[in-house]
Amino acid sequence: MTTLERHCQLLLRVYPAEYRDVRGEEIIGTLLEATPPGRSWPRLRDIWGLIFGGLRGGEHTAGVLPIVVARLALLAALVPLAGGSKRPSRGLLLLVGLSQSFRSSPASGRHSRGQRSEFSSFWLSPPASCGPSSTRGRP
Amino acid sequence: MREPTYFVLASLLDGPLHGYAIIKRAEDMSGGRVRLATGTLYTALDRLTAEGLVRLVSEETVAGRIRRSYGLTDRGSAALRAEAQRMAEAASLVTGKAVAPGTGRLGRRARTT
Repeated sequence: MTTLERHCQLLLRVYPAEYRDVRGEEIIGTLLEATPPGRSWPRLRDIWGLIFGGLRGGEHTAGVLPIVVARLALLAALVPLAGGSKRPSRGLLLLVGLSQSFRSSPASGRHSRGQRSEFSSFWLSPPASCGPSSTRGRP
Repeated sequence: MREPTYFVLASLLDGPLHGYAIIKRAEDMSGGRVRLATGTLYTALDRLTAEGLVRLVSEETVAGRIRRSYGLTDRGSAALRAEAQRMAEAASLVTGKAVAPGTGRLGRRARTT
């Protein structure tokens, strides 16, 4: 897997796992085609498009502090791994994390729409398909 | 209908296209004005598919990845033509009008002096 491909997958994390299951491969294929040769990150336009597309598609529930902190901490840990300080910088990675935090806020007590499982699938790492199916159903 | 939506639909006039081909075609057709980001395109395709204006036409595997092609539905084609008609009528309000006395460049200058 190329660095570009890895970065595309990282960016796709702003989308819910359910969406990634359906569209992920296709979007990565398009991103790879749209990115000029020799780059290790997609074009800025595509990066913003993914972040805001992910935000719009998700629930706009308010972020909950522990989740934000946990995500920021993990992103901070990811930064050195994410391509040796090549563009786009850590600010962007933080944004990816932040946009995720705003999209799903499991600790708000409203678990009925599957945020909890989305949360665990991203940060606590069981694959999406391992989540309890009862919490994943959308009304 | 917003301009990106219009050009996404217009890009499919000559037949189904896959994601990146839609982005390229929309950019070409709009003279470089509509540059769709990948995420934006798929958000639009999701919405247009849900509204029944666009449909999934085929799926193939390219370089180990699914590549889907999308085409206009009859409804999509009708909506696109209706929008084109609306814009043509709106444009004709301006382009079809002779410049009235006093509103042109010379007229304005004449009034200010």
